Amino acid sequence: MATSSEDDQQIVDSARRLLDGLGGISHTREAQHTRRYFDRTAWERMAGAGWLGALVKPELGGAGLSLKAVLLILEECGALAAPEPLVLALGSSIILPACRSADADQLRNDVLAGTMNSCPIVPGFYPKDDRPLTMTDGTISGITPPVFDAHSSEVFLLGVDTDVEFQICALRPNSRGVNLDLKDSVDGGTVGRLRLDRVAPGDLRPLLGGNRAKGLLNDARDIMRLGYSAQLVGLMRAAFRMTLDYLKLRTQFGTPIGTFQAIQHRAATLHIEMKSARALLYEACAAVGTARQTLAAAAAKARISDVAMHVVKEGVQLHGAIGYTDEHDMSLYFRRAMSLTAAGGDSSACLRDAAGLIRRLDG
Amino acid sequence: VAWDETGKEKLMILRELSEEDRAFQKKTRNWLEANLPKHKARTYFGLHLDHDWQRIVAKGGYLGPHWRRDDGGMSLTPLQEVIMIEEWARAGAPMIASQEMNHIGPILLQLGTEEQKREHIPKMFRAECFWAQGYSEPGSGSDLSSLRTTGAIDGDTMVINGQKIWNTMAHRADWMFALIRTAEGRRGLTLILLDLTTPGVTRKSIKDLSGDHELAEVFFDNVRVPLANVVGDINDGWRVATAVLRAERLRAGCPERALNALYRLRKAAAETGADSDPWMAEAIARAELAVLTLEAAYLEALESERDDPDNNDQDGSCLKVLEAETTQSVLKTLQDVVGPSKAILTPPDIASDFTDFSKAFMAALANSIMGGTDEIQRTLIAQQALGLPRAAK
Repeated sequence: MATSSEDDQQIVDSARRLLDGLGGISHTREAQHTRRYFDRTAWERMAGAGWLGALVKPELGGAGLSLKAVLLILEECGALAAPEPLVLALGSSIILPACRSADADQLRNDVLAGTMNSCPIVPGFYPKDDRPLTMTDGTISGITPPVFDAHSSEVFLLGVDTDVEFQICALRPNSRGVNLDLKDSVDGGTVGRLRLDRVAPGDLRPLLGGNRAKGLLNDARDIMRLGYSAQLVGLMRAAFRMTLDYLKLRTQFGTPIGTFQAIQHRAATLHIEMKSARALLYEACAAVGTARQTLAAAAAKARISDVAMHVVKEGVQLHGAIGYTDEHDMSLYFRRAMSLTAAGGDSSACLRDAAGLIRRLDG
Repeated sequence: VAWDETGKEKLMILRELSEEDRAFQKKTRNWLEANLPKHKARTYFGLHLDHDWQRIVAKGGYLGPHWRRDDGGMSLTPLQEVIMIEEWARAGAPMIASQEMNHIGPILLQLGTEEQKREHIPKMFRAECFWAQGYSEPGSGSDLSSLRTTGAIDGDTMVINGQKIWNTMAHRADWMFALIRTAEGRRGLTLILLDLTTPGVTRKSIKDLSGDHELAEVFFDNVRVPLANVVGDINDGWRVATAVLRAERLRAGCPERALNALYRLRKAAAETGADSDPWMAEAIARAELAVLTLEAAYLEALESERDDPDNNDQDGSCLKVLEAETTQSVLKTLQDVVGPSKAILTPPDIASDFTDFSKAFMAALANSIMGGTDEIQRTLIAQQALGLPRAAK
């Protein structure tokens, strides 16, 4: 599954070209040193390349790519620790095309064009934080679970238990009674929560209701987990490549430090972990749309988060003191990995999800 | 087990099975139900050479999953290979001996003479002849280039003197494929096939830490073997022995033992109530995840072997290490789950319960040693796949 074909290679190459055109790793460096960074120009270029609606059918304005192709693109973004909130776009592109109303169509067109950013708030990323938004006395109140890099979002897609049914609604954070509580994250982004205090139902534009809505949010959760995982797979590959180059270059005691067996074996361990983690990602990708989709996505995110943190931690260690500086690019990978491993549910949360689902399978 | 659409029919495989794959799975499961003798299910954890079982498997046509049908095998796809492993683990069927189909068989297929193939391969598929590998020696474990068992050429025979050791099941095998020194240096090795009943061959089993007798040592005292039994050329044994190394190591990373270990862990956790103890639940979940990862990596490696046969990513070494670590860690968790029972001596008849905690745990120590230690594999990965430089001598 993870073997790359010519088509895959073309997708990877064009993704690299676009990202290099944005400045490559220096774009990331700028982002991580800018509070609540968002570069509209970069975003519109990604929109132009079809990345914001990559999974959406062409007749609805998308690029109609396979999920595997999308994950390959996200790997390349991860390889530069790119700051753009592409996984939010990925989640939105699962939800919006299924909502067929004039409102939803307009929203989808704006989001795909990159002129408006939407942020899906899906339940299940952080089970402890799942408190459904509910309707009391005709108004809606509650706090959403945390979401990463929502500072650029002009509209939120969230599930609400109304008097009638469960609905996915669109909500603008500048509506009355809505407060977007943002905290800065280590990589120049944010971790945010929406607080709703007696929001009038009129401010929540319903997009879709019923079980179909719940199913869509679940799909968005699983596919976003795979999206974060793909970014981490690319990130660890690049951080490891940088580390290997250093091991071949850095000389101590008259020999490259990469000749030392203690170092070689640690590098080999990382290689084994990375290779198997990537295999799990694409196996999970193949499980999307089947009974094991949620299990697969949770398992992949759990494993990949652990491996990614191990790779960047070793990346710093094997570079020695220079690896601990802000000046060295390893710092960019380390900090981005901290956010991406937490986004979509950290290793423990995903492990718990996967374990629960495995137990149910054990017939 | 319900045969339904919820995905319960698979142990670990994440992707959906096609109609054809389901049919193969069902056929395999039914065959195991009908043909696996009850007293053989879940009896051993490690590799025992069970001649009877091998003959049953041969008769059922389940030897050589990755061999082409034209060569006598099953021509399975990588996914079907994994399905078969899952079914074997689910049924607790003893592992199939690996020397024939994974080691000497493929070597003969690729580099043997027509005569050698005609003589040996059909017997492997009929389970009439069992093989042992003769590589390691007392002074040459990881460093095989230092082998010292010698072969002197005398007319059309080779006269072998010396000793081999750690030869899995050599005391119960019929033939051996051995690397013999016929000249100095790495180029001075020759791979030869020899009948273990030849005069001058003495075999002794070695009792291992777990109390089993899987290993043996073999002594050669002027053992005369026809030169017609040399595979490839004289002094070309290193190339011959390593010609199919990738396929060998890949299959050494097969998740069958890990799945077996996980099956035991699940049963023990349910019986002891450990699965509802939050302190244990995380460790159990990690074990599940580790096996899931190993299986995904194995499937990916088999597919990559098929699609990209020339890559030098050392995926075999990676898998071999991953398999050993995974199996050992799952069994470690099993030890934790059963608490004080972990040190109870495994009873001789373990088919009826899951109390073989101690033996399985000890037997898995071998996984990271046999077939090239984890340390050797890591060095290969670092130098071959990652391009890290060798230390100057």
